[in-house]
Amino acid sequence: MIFGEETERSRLQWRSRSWLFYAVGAALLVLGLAARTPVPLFLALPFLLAPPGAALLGPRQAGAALDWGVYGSEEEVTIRGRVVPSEPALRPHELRLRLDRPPGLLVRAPPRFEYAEGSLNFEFFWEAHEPLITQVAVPEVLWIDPLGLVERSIRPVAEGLSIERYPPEIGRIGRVRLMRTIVLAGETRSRARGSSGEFFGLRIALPSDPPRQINWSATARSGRTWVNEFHLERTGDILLVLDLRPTGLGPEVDERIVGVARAAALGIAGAFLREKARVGVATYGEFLTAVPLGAGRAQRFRIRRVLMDSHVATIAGPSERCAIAMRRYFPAGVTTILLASLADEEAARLVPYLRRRGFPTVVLSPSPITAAFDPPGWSEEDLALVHRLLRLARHERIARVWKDAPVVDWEEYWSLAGFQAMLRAGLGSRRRS
Amino acid sequence: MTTKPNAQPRTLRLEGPGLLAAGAAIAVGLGIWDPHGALAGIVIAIVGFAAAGALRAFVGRSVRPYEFLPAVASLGYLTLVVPTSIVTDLLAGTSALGLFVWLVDDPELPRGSLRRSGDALLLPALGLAVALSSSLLIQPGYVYVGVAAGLLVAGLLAVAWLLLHPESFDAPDTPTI
Repeated sequence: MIFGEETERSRLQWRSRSWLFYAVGAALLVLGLAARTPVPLFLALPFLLAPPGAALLGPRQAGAALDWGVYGSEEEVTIRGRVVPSEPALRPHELRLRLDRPPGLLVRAPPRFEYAEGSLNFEFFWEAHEPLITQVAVPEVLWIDPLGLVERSIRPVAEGLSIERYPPEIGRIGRVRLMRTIVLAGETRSRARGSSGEFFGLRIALPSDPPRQINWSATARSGRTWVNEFHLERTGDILLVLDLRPTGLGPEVDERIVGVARAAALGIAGAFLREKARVGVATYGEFLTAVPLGAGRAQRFRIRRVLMDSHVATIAGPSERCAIAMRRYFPAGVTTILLASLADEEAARLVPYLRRRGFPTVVLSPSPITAAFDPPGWSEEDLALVHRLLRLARHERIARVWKDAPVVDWEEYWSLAGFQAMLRAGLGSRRRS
Repeated sequence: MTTKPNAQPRTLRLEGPGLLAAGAAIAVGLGIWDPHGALAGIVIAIVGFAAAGALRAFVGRSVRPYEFLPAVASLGYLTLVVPTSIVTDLLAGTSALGLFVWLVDDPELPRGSLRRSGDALLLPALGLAVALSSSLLIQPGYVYVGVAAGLLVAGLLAVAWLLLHPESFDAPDTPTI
């Protein structure tokens, strides 16, 4: 739950109906004067007075606190929260909520609003069509007068909500033994020192050290600030590469595939980071964006930020550039998971380049057949035939890529069982060989 | 944690049509004075209000801000043609207020919005009451209509200024030390 106390200053705004009232009043006034009759003036008077009346007699300033969270599991997403007006003159019944639904989420049921004593409670019922990571912006709360003439917009200062939905297998995927994996976490001592892992010793604190690392007992004894140092633990390295280049499928389908790949990348990264592996991420559209190998919670935030900003590029860079650029950030030999749709030849060409640059690669390929929309008006038989032909063509392309790297055809987006099985079988045997 | 949304019981709200009928009744009272025949005036009043009700009932949310326009059109026509008298003045003003009461009772708003709408209707009702009482005291004639029109134009300009400067309704900034 995130609770916002402060609010930005609210401003009064006229709604379209108040301009309409004003126009109606002015028109009646002109007509009354033209016809030299006072009766339309009496009809015009309430229309002219209502907008300033609503503005004058409404609250002069508005503020509200927002307390909200995201609930549900797998496909189900429920946003539940409470808006509490901070001004006594502001009645919850006059508040409205404007919440933008992020793309990739569908409405499961109509939203529910309850006006309790002193607060507006709300629930939004959404459904994730496929695995996704997305951010829900802070909703706009509006005070609107009963006649719908004026409004005051309130933007509660609260953090946006993060929605992350992955296939259930992701939770167990991190237990796969990676290349350079050791039996127990922390068995191999790393030269690096950090803020987590096995205790190593004490050192004088630096201004950049977080307070949680301070050893308060040692500090009290010596009179100087000491911090704990730890051996960084490491179980293995893994690198996730997202192919963001545009394909012939069109921007809409490309963006959908990238959305699924993004969610899978963050889920896989999180699972391996939990097992204390070092994880790196690279996204490639026209140029390479990289998060170098790292571990810990901060690394997850770095990866998440890069993945949230990654979208389908407008220009496709050559495959060789990606492989060359990756060597600047990552050492050769790191187990690499390439997330690419393999929808065209250029995407398939990336795999041999990666292999030649020393990255042992496993391809997780979200199927474009699942993401593409069926053309309207086609019969079931025609669609079945088209799907069959598309599958044949895809199998032929995957077979060619298999010469350089194992490929998992990810057709059912809510299941990664095939990928998990391949990681277990493939990476272990490769390590032994 | 997952919650299944409970099915919301749908209840028929009779306030909206009832208030619309009350507004239409006032408009019918105005229509009786139609010089082209009471029947024509009554039909125009009823058609205007019925069209407004139909807009609310059958047309989508995007039309909501404009739903009162058919009723205003019929009222505008009737106020132009009916003879000038204190009764028609009163009916014209109260029909506008009746229309406002119907607008306040929006089925999309939470229940009880009509009860809470006193503030919104206060200023128009007060202005109308002042105008009606002054029209009772002032002798009818073109000069007085001209004076009233002049006052209205001044009011119109004041309203225009307010519409262009909505920040004048905000509370002043709190001084800080």
